[in-house]
Amino acid sequence: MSTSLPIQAPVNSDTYLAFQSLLFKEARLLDTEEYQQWLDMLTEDIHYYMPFPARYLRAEKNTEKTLEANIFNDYKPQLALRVSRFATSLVWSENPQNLIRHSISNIEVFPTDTDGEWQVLSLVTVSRNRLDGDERRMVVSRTDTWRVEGDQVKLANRQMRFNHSVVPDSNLNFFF
Amino acid sequence: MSKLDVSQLVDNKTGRQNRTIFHNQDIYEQEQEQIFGRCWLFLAHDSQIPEPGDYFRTFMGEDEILVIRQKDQSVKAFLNTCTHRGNRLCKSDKGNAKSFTCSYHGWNFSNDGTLSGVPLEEDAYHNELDKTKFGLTPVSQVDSYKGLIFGNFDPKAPALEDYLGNMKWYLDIWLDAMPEGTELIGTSQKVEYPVNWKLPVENACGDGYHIGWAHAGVMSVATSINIESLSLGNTSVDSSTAMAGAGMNGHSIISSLDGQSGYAFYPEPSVPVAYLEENRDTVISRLGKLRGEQFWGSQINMTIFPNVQMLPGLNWFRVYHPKGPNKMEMWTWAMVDKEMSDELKQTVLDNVCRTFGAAGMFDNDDGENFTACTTQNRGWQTRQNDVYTNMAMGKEYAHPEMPGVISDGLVGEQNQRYFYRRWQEVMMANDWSSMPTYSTFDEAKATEAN
Repeated sequence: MSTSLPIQAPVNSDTYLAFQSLLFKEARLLDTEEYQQWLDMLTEDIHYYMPFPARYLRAEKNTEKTLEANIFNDYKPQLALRVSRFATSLVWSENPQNLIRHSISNIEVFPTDTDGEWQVLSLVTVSRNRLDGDERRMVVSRTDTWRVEGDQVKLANRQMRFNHSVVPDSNLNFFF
Repeated sequence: MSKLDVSQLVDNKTGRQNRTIFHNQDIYEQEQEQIFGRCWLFLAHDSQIPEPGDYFRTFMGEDEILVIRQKDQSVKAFLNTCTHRGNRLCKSDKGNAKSFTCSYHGWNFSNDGTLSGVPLEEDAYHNELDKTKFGLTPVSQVDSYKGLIFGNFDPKAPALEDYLGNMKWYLDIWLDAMPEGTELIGTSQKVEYPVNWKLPVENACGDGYHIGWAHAGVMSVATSINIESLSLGNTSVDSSTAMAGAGMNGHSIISSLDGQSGYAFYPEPSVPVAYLEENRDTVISRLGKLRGEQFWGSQINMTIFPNVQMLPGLNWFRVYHPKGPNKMEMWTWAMVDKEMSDELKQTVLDNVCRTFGAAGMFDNDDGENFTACTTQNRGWQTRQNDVYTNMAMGKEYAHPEMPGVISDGLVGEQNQRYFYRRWQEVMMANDWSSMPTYSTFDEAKATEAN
């Protein structure tokens, strides 16, 4: 005897699973540094943005005047530049390869007012083993827009929130 | 604690440092007392706290500080700690407040530091608490130089202008080039490194040597203007096209002399370079030909002892806060001329973040090296060894116009030697009256220890 649920998922399970697979595939490409394939998952007008977090009192009204510094404020040419830097083999801190794993969770998929575009929320937890026992863990929330382009669905916009007031690593030679 | 003798740990004559100075906890504590307790330390830029009541939370050494703009536009700075039981008073990075209330028992301090309210003052303290004795602990001296606000814990320290000495001639290349001066833009970019604070200062104060090698990857993809005094892979350099200046109370500069290479790592340098050329005549009329034509716009690293670095062109402004011998926090902002258009300011901010931010393509090459230079010293045998900054010893000269001790080229180790000389002097001097003071070539040579 089952009661029908009084709630409904924002998208059907096929759509949800399709986006979950897409995010997992993207995470795998980033883990394995297959950056050209990753760039191919991005639209030409991708905006990839992560502001620097700041901590203000809740009632503080006087912080709007401060321009937001960012960790990433990249469009495709800047992302491609970062990838080309990695490809030089002259980035000494990435040799030996750091062991990195992107775990994706808290995925929510919503339709948008624009046909062929979905909003996808997720959390990414990055575990990064540097040399020896040196281990870093970082958490970032992501608000994505994914867009249908031909027979692909591509990332058009990623607005991120870095969950650390002070960056806990001496380089961020990777993507979230 | 009796003072440690560091006389044998640094030798300016041979460019030698013993590695224990990057590791030893007692030396670190002495740095807190002797260096961070007595030198002028950067607190904030005028532009970060323009209005009365504006405040900024920062550090002087490991001491947490609240910097507050007063009603009369002066600036006061206090230990950010409640005088009752020692709790942190203000938890916000910045803001505007008439007063600050401690979250522990509710003591309230006006933004001029006076204790103005104590809960249950009558019922529990029986009106016997002398509130005038429990105001916030002030930083002894606060002063500013052309927009940069500094604090000093030592009431006997020399005035800020004297402390900066001839370095002001170089600082003005940025701070006073344009009539409106500068501003810091962008939220504070804070990165924690497992690094001794002296290593990044040493690096950016004079080490052009590492650039062509440590940054070879990014240089090979992101260089848009040739810098003759640097080369990818360090195959060759032309030292005649750049200078290094030191011997000014520990402050120093390295600079190209081409007037535009500061923007060498912008993908579209034509925009900032056009700004330079539009305003160059103004700058020449304010600073003269040498500074206006050859310095302004060049690749420049300026260091204010002990822990401030500013790189006009790349346009970053940075302070290193020590967090123990093996840890520091690096705070970075973009610094721009107020006259720049909003669009150019945003371009500069984005480029600062992309080159020297947390995911900055240059900065991300440095952290690994600084980290290992620090953590290797955990080895007892390792830290019995010395390291050297002994490149091009004895090639220093006096220049008719440029103050200080001058060498040719961005690739050199003169400034690092003078940084460690100053470190040693401040670590050893009992008080400011016995501290060597030098700001010219002759003074720097005359005060050299034997």
